[in-house]
Amino acid sequence: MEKNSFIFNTNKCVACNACVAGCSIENGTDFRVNWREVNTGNKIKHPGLPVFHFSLACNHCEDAPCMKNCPALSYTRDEKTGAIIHHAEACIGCTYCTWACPYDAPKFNPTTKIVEKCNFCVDRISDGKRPACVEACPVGALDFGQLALKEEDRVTPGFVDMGIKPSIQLIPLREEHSTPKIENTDKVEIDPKKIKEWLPKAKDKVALDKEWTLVLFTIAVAGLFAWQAAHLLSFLPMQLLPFSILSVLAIALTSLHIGKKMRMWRFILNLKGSWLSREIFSFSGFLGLTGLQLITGNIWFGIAASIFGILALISVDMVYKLLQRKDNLLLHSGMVVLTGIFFFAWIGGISIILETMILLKAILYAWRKISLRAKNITYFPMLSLLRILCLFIPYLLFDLEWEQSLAILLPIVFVGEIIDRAEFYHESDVITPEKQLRMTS
Amino acid sequence: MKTYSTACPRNCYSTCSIKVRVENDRVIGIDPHPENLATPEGPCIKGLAYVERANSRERILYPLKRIAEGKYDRISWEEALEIISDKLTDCKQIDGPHSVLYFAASGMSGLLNGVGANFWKLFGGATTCYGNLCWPAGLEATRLTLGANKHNAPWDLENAKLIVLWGKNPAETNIQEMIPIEKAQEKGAKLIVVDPRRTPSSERANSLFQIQSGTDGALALGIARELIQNDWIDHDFISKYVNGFEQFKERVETYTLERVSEICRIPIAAIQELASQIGSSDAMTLIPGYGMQRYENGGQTTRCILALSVITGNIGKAGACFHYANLQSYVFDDLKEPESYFPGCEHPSFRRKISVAKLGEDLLKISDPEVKFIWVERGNPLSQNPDTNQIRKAFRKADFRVVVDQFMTDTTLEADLILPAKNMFEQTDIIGSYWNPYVQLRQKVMEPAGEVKPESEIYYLLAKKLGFEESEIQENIPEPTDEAVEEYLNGFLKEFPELSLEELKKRPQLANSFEEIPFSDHRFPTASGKIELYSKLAKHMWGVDELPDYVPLEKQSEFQFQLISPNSKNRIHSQFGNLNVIKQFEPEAYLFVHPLDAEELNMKNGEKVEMYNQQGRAEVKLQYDMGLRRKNVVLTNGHQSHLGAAPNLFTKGCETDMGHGTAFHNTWIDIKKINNE
Repeated sequence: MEKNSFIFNTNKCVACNACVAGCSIENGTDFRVNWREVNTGNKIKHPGLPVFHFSLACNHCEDAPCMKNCPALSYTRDEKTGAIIHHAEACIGCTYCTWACPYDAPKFNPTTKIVEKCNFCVDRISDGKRPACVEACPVGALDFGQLALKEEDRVTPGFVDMGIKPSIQLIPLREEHSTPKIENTDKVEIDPKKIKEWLPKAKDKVALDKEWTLVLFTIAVAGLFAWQAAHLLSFLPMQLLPFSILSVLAIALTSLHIGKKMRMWRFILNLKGSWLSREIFSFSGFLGLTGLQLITGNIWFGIAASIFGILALISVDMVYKLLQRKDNLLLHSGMVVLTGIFFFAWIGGISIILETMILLKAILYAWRKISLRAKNITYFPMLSLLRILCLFIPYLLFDLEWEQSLAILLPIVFVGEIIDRAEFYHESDVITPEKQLRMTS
Repeated sequence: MKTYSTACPRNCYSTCSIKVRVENDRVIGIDPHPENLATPEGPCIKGLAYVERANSRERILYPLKRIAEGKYDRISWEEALEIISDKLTDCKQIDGPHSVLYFAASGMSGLLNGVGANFWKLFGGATTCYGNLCWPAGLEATRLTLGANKHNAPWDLENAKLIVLWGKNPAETNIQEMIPIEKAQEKGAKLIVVDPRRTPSSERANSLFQIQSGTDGALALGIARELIQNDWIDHDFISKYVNGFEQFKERVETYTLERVSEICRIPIAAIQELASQIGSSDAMTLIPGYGMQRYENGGQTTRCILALSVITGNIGKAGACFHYANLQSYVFDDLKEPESYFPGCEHPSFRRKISVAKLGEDLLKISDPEVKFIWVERGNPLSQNPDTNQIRKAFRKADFRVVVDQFMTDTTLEADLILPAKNMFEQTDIIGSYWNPYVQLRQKVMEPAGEVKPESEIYYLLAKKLGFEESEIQENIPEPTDEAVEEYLNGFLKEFPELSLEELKKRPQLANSFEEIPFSDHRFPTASGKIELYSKLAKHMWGVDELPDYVPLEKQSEFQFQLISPNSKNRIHSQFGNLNVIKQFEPEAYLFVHPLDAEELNMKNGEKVEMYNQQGRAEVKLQYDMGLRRKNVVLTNGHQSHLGAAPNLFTKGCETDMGHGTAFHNTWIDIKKINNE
């Protein structure tokens, strides 16, 4: 089926950035939040590789992950043009879409505190005109047309095709013209390792300094669930006041992460498609039901709360499924489902579960570290040692039936989990064109 | 909203036709103008930047008087004109009119620029500059050889089978040229680049011959020798249309493969390969850039390269030409470049001339009278002429400086009085191009902003104030009305019935004299009527060899790094760099260094370092670039020293071997770490 598409010819683009300027003039965007960007492969000019560019904005994918994952339903598709439209008034600024999109199309605007993105110049194309970026390209590298796109239209190094059917045709570099043969008597062979060292660092979208609130929040979800479940099974008392304080803190932590706090209610509008909606919904349900349980003493509220808690744990892990992991492993020792059960076993003092979880976490942790090391990625051995100690020492003390209470042991356990969870964020990232192109060089 | 046809009047090959959208006297959009076949897809990012430039809050909108270093107060036009006329009267009475320097550069093209010269002529004359900062060596070399500077229409390039970009980087400096290059490549043409840098244009090339800068002449002669020895030359063309081939053949004898390989620092096999490509192609367009001729040997270098097109018969055919400068649209000039740059070519009131290449040195040296008053328009000599510190000294030595500009620059910062300059949307004028062949109208689309007055109006008011004869004013300076300006322009159009303001308001136009493929008639306006490889005139006028030759550049051993200062896609000389739309991509000046050179100096990517030589110093952020030759460093042209580093802090003022061009490029520097402790 034919659809509106960008057509990008890699042979023609010289990275003049006119498309970026054309877009920002047409749409009145801030220079710090360009909807279109030109990404360059081999910026440092490695002699054996071509330097080439992708000018990319939103590709208006058929299976748009931004739209699917937005918890607030702030994306819609314009049926007539196929444009994926972001609605500013509906956006809560959670930036989850910026994680979901592999083309770095949704941009968070720090001034307006919400996301914005290319709208395909929907008014222009509805009028039969070309998008402003296409109009602005002085060499015809960026074009627009109605195409029946096939998979091979997107096969070019550095461009991710995740099967979401982006509306773009990429014309790859002609084979024979891809890298100039360089004649220079004085050129020297350079160790590829050196070149890797020289490469400028790509920006990390998920970075610990930005996501520390999420570290604490996700640990809090696991902790509150464990506490509630332990209370339900009468392992540990639970009072309304401390529970409420912790709950409010947890909610405050999430709210720090979103741009429009007054629109937080929109978080749960997309239960059908977004794990983030499901996470917030199930966690809110968990908090509410636990509150009712504590006030009324009705066990059915407690059971319902536990179910919601389990759903919340699963949702949290599912929320992060769309991130890239540096280790490429399926399971992570910092997954909150594991941590939730682990905390529960601790609080309940259920040895068999506790031992299983400690073993499982230790194995997953070590497996990950080994695979990071194999990939030459920094893996912080000293921190790892501390994390492993935090896993085993409390258990050893517990096993020796050390007289001290949980009040001493649990904080140690928590420190270990926080390290693990923090590493989870540090080792996660989002696919971006910048990173993809960096890797092709 | 209204849409107008206009054209970009910058000192740039492309000279794009554009359509400008105007609403409520504001420029709101720039669109392509497909009727210009050379720029059918529209302008580059700088063209789009006019939306910001026309509406920028940083624009100078009122006359400003200096009250302290870097501090200016708004004054009225009345006061400004009063001050200027008092100073000028004093100058004229005490030291004579030649104590005034009238300095105008290439900031905005247009026929109305001639009003400035008219004014100063009426004033009794002024000291002016001869020569040019840009391209005269190559122009003169071409003129001596072919008789005229013209080449095939830009769109003919797609017919070439071999394209040689010799020191030109159109991907950044003439972006629309990449359209026919790509079309030719799609049809199977080969693209070759000769450049000391791995440029964006070289990315799609088959080969990059990354030679030592300044040695291009030797490479050309080495290739010529190979062509001749392998009999890859066009005997018929040579015998019919070329003068001096036998002598040339003798000349290239000494440029053996071994010697040239050693001089240019590329392998012998590479030279053979390049020669065989050139020798086996029946349609070669050879496109030299302007940077390569801004050396002391620039004219001779260009003659050497041009000889390759000549002996292979690649002149005056579809897809084949020497693509240096195309002055076909300069139909209104009595005297074309480069001859108009030579001293003595103008009205006797401008007999007092100093070298534009040695502006600082000459200004400091000149006496009887010394220059007391400096008037600068359309230019930013403090950043664009060589040896900034010398020029600054010379400017400060004068008593009074007036600078006309749209924005604050290195030069306005030296001014006692700044006058606001019009922008391209505020007065109608006719412009040409040195690449595309169109005559174009740069159309007035809005009233001048603030209290801006076009230069012709400033001159008109000054002429009145100074009490020039009414009849002389009328004859030389148009009244400040749109009608008078159009009448002034119609005066030029009179002789060209095919051109009219009416039509030019709608679209670019071609003059009747336009030739799509010049020299196809094999008429060469030289003394002999033939292409002159051997030129007596070259020796007579410039004292260089009658034959093209490679003249090695002066060697120095004091500094380690050769500074290359190419033009950037982000600016036209020092224009546009102040705009946010540009700054987002190039927020400051960077010094590009090969990472191995940086590591030897223990410097890291992104580190701020000091660059210096005998003339200047600056602090600049270092950036790795593996596409450089070792010991070459790059700082792009057009950065201004008041914002950090600028290349001309380091260049020396000297002229090219011919044409009175400026030899910026044999510049050497060192870099050292900045001690932050």
